[in-house]
Parts: sequence; structure tokens; C-alpha cells
Amino acid sequence: MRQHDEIEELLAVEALGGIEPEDRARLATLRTDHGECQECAELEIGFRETAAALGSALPEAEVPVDFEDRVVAAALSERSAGTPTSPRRRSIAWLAVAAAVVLVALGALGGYLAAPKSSVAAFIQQQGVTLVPFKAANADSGTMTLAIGPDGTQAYMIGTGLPTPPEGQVYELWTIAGTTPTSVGCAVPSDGHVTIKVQGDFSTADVAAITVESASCPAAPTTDPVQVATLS
Amino acid sequence: MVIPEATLAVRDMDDARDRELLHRVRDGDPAGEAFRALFRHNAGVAKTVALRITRSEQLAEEAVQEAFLQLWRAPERYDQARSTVRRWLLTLVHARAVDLVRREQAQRRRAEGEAGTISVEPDHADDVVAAVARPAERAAVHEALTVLPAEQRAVIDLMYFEGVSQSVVAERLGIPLGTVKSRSSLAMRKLRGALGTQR
Repeated sequence: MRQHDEIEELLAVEALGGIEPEDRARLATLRTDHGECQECAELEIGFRETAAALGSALPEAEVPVDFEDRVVAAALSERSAGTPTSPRRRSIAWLAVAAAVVLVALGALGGYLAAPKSSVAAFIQQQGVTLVPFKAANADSGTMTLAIGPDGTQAYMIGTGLPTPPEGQVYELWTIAGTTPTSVGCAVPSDGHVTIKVQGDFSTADVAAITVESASCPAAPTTDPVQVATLS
Repeated sequence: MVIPEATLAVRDMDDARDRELLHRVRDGDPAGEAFRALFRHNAGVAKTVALRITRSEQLAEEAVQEAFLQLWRAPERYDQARSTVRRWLLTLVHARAVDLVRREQAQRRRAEGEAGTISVEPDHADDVVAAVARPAERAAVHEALTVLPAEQRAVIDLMYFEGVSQSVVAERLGIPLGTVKSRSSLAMRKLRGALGTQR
């Protein structure tokens, strides 16, 4: 068999997803030996496009809203936790690392730690995690989501697009049962992002709210909420 | 087969919207709004592809999630000269779904301590065609698949729509591995011409 014909066959199998490791290695060797081959490159792209075209004409499966929320939350949590990203995002990632340092320092006051990426993703992907979006008081208040664990005592607060609070102030998260607020933790976003793990009684609280407070993280709110989420 | 111009126009408009969203993701997308819109527009068909391969809701969602996170982490990998955003995404989903299925199969084989029983599956090409949604694309895919000789169609069906590896296709169809490869190549050449994917 001609070398080029064998390359074409293996490219077809590869595009269809059926290639096995031995033949994948064989394909790489053949292409190296074959040298510059414009037709091979065009075949590779064309076959991939052809395979994807078969799939793109299929009917759309139902996608649950909570699945969409989980994927978006996982993406945002990666960025907040400083996962390596494209060059354009690297500056954001570095700022997120800086934010993590601030959060660790504040943890002594607020009782929380900055969350490593892997633990956030693993947490969100657990069965029984509930994602609760906050409603912002103003359009420019950013986006906050609370990912509550299955037992209702642990959660991640994930925020993006958050305005930086004034000097000496922080965002404080509350759970409110009836009319009684309980402080859950405080955070300072970096470049608008924050991801923190918090502990509280999320299963019996009626509402979660976020206020802007002094860095001392007071035991009772002193300002109106900038974000509110209904828990029950 | 020539795909009608109207179909191309709709596809181009869809892709223009996806490209704009991807551009916003590449620029930072601080609240993930563009990413969410991309997901909403493409997750349904992505999940269908993943479901056909994994036959598991959980694995399908895992494949879709990982493909979208790949897009999120490195949107610059998309090459608009080569593909539409949707097709690029489906390539990622398909590859991930195949990986997940093979991992599961390997784990199952290890657990059973044997290679496992391989059963001959019926040809699902007609089922695939019957399930295709949008009329113009449905017609194009239908015609492209139906003009293939049955033996080539069976290879496409098993390998692409069921995520079966080349050796298993050979076993299931009872043909030599070399024949699987040659049928794959012949079928893909024909499909490529019929579906207008000659880039």
C-alpha cells in the first residue's frame, strides 16, 4: 500500500474516533516520513469537519438548567482559583492568587479559606449540590452564586464581576432564619472574582444575603444587602 | 448533493453568533455570560453526540462539561479558518466521550478479569437518520448516509455514533482490521463530498 493511502485511512479512522494507540503512533511516524503534505493536512481537517457535521445535524437532547449552572459555575470557579488559562487571562489568574492570600489572612476573622481549584470543582460536581443564584440590588453589583453541599452545612460562594468594596470594607455573607442573621464569612474580591468555602446552616435558613461591612466582619449587618438569595 | 443556500445562510448566521460569543470569552467574559450563551446554544446537540457514544446520562454530561471547560480554558485554540464553533465543540465532545467510554470499558474488563463478551449490534444508521432534526441538514445527512454502501455505513455507525474502536468494529462486523480502515476512508471521502466539508 502506498504511504499516502495508509495515511488517509488512518486519518479517517482518527476523525471517526476509532483509532487505537498503535495506529495513532503509526500515523505520526508515517506523516513524519512522508514529509510536507498539503493534501494530508486538508484531509485531516476535512475528515474532522465531516465527522462533526454528522453530529451537528442530530436533534438536541434536553439540557437541565442545573447542568448549565454547574458548568458555568465550574468555569468561573476555575478562573477565581487561578487555573492556568489563555495568555489573555493570565493577568486575571495572578490577581486571583493575590486574592487568595488576602482571603487566607481574612480567614482568621471570618472563618473561611480561599479554595483550591480542584476542591471547588470536586465540590460542585458532587451529587446533591444545590446552586443558588443571588439577585443583585443593582445591575452593576456583579454575579454571585452559592453552591450548597448535600448536607447543607458547607458551601462555596462564587462571585464574578463584583465591584471592589471601599477601602477598609469587605463583603460579608449572611444566612437569615426568620429575622435572625448569622455571619458566615467575609471576603474581598480580586479583579471582581471571589471563590471561598464557607460553613453555616444553609438547610434551615430562609435567605442568604451579602452586605458591605467593615473589615472587622461584624456579628450583625449594618448595611442593606447588595445581593440576596432565597434558600427555602 | 448540494446543500441549499438557505441552509448555508442559517448555519453561517448561527456560527457568526457563536464566534462573537467565543470572542467575548477570549476577551475575559468576567461574569461568564458569553460562555453561558455558547453553552445554551450548543449543549443540546453536544449532549446528543455524547449520549450516542456513552449511552449514559452521567458520562454524557461529563463529556459535555469537560469539552466546554476546554473551550473556556483555551478559546484561542479555535481556528475559524478550519471549522464552525459548533463543529469544533462537537469534535471535543466526541473525543472526550470516546475516552470516557473506553476508560469505563477497560475498568469493567479489569473488574471482570476477562475481555468481555462482544455482541453484534444491529445497524443503527437508519435510526440515526430518522432522529436528525433540522429538515435541510436532515436531508443532507440522510442522503449522504444512504448513498453509502451498507458495509461502509455500518462502519461509520459503529465508529462515530457508538464510539467503538477499530478493532472492535472489525470483531463485530467479522471483517479484517484492514478492511475497516479502507471502508472508513472510502466512506469519509464520500461523506466529505456530499456534506460540503471540502475545506
